[in-house]
Amino acid sequence: MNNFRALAGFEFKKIFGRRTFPAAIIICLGIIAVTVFSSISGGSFHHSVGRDISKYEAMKLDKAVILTNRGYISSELISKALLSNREMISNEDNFFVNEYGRHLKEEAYIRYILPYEPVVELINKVYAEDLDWLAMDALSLEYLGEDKAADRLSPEQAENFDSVLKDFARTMTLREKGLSAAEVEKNLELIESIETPLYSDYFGGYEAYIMSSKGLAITALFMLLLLLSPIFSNEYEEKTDQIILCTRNGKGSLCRAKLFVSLVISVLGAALVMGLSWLAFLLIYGFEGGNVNIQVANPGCTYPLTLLEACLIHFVSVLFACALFAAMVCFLSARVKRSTAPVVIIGTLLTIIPMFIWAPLKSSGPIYELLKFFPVNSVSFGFDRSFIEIFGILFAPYKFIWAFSTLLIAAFSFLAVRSFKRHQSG
Amino acid sequence: MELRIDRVSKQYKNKLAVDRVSLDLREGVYGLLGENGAGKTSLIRMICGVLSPSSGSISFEGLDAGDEEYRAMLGYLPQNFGYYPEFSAQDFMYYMAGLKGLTKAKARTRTGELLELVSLGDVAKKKVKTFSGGMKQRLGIAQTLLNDPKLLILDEPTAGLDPKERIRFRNLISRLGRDRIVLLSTHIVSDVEHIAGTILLMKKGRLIHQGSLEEVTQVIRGKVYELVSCGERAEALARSYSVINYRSEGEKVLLRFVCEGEPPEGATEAPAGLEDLYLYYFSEAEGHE
Repeated sequence: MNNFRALAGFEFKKIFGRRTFPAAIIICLGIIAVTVFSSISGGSFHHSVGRDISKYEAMKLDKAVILTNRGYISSELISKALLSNREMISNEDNFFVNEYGRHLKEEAYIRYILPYEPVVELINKVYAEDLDWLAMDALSLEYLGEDKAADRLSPEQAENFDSVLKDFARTMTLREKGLSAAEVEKNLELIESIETPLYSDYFGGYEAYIMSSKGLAITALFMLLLLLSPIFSNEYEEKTDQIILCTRNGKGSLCRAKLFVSLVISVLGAALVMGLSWLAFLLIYGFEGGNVNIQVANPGCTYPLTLLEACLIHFVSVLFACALFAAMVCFLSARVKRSTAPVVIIGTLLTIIPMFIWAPLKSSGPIYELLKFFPVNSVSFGFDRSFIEIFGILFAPYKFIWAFSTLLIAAFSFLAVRSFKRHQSG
Repeated sequence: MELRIDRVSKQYKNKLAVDRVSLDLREGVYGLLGENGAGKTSLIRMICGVLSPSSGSISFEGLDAGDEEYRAMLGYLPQNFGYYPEFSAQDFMYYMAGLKGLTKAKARTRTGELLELVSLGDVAKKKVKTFSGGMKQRLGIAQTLLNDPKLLILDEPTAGLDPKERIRFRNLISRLGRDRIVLLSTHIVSDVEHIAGTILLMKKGRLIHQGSLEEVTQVIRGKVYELVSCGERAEALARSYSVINYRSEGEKVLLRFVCEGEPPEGATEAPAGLEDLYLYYFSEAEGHE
């Protein structure tokens, strides 16, 4: 009998029985709590300016105002937003002047802009005159220029908003350096498939989750490093390898059970960290925003996705990244001669170094592309315009990372089993 | 039933731990003796498949030491090995039963029987971390027997056991050797003397003697002497001969020693035992091979 299930059960028992298990869980929960709490306590909310209320209360008041105009970004909604903006800027009482210049009063913003905030911000980006001042990020697109399109546009001028939005995305695609003709073509196809009118809603919960997602995913990676680094090496360290490796299933089923348990823990651990924090953000900010088009946050994004779909894709990417990291840790753990400490050190370096050298190497091409697949980088919330081309077929990076991670998981698992089988006791 | 060890060597960087050892073992108890660093543990690990030989081959019933079926017939008690401190004795036995491929039902039956056999039945559910060294050793012995091995390798099995337990296990090992190969490595010479049908003597990685007690002690037969003397003379004799035992009895000293030529005056020949042989080879009389 290979006793795979029984052996897997004992491997779970070993991991749960170690002191690192409760420590890792407590640290993770603590980081989630701090991340969620700091997103509120460190957040900037319009209702908190000059009022003696908590940030949480201010967020709820902001949200209540934004929710008054949730729905499709129709010509009517755009028109209402522009008219409201015009009414605000036409009244000088809505402004104050100090030594730094002329500023909008917060009450005026809350009254005229906040109800249409996602729409007004979108108009300001899409109709901005100077595209060089647009800063791209994975989800957000910040306009750094002085021009506020909403101040100069009439409702009639904004009637063709949907086509202007797609033109904007096309322009951004064409202006991006380094894209091949096939990639440009693929992005243009994607832009065509974006359904308009866009849907707008309050998406504070999703925004906060996305902003924190990379940090949370890295937390999950470190938790896995703590939990899984002894999976093989502890047998060497505690000298149990001698009694294991001389048994019938010691070089077969046991290895498979250890790998299975590692992968299960990596997927469950990642799901726990990401899922729990996502839920925590939504519980605090509200569950609204899932069906908001990603273009509402970033009109330059070419993917026809809602925020919920984008978050789910990212969630799956984190699961794959964590499973790959677990397989790498298993390999390291099986490969060391005696102690678990080198596994922790190398695992930490593998997590930290690619994160810091990735961005500076953007111009290097192949190295940059290779580092993209390291778990710490593949957990980035990225829907950029580059694609992976294999035999003439273009794959979205996240799909390629899923497939490539699966291959690497298989390769590292094979190497881990081989190293454990070949381990020399004593 | 045959364990064949064919010109097996193990080289660690600059050190040759096992040097071309060849052996054919059949049913019975084999006692492996040698000083620390003689290569016993390396040889045992290679037989158990947890260490690869640098050269040579090991097979049992035609199966290579790396085969799964070979490992299925093996029971191994290493010299120093770890336990899972959070496991109970019962969990540990179930885990080992799982590793040895036993069914769940069989694992339960064998665990119950063996924990009783090693007198751990009443603490079966206690965590191993609460066990004394002797209890852990008994648990280690129990796990080796889970799969009713045809090849039983025991490295220092009686270390840490009290004299009563030691004798009990010695007898158990003796019984087990009737229908399987038991290879016993120990520093406790009397254990080997009492139960091993064949004695294997290792020194500096090489097998220097093998045979029955009669055969291996042949080397020093007629060379072991005893002498009762005063302290001063005893000291002088101790400097001249390979002393096996030096025991003070009041003002007199009982000296047991090996003498290759003419014995000193007053010395009487004594029957040679395994301990004499062991000490002859491995203590003061370095160089005898």
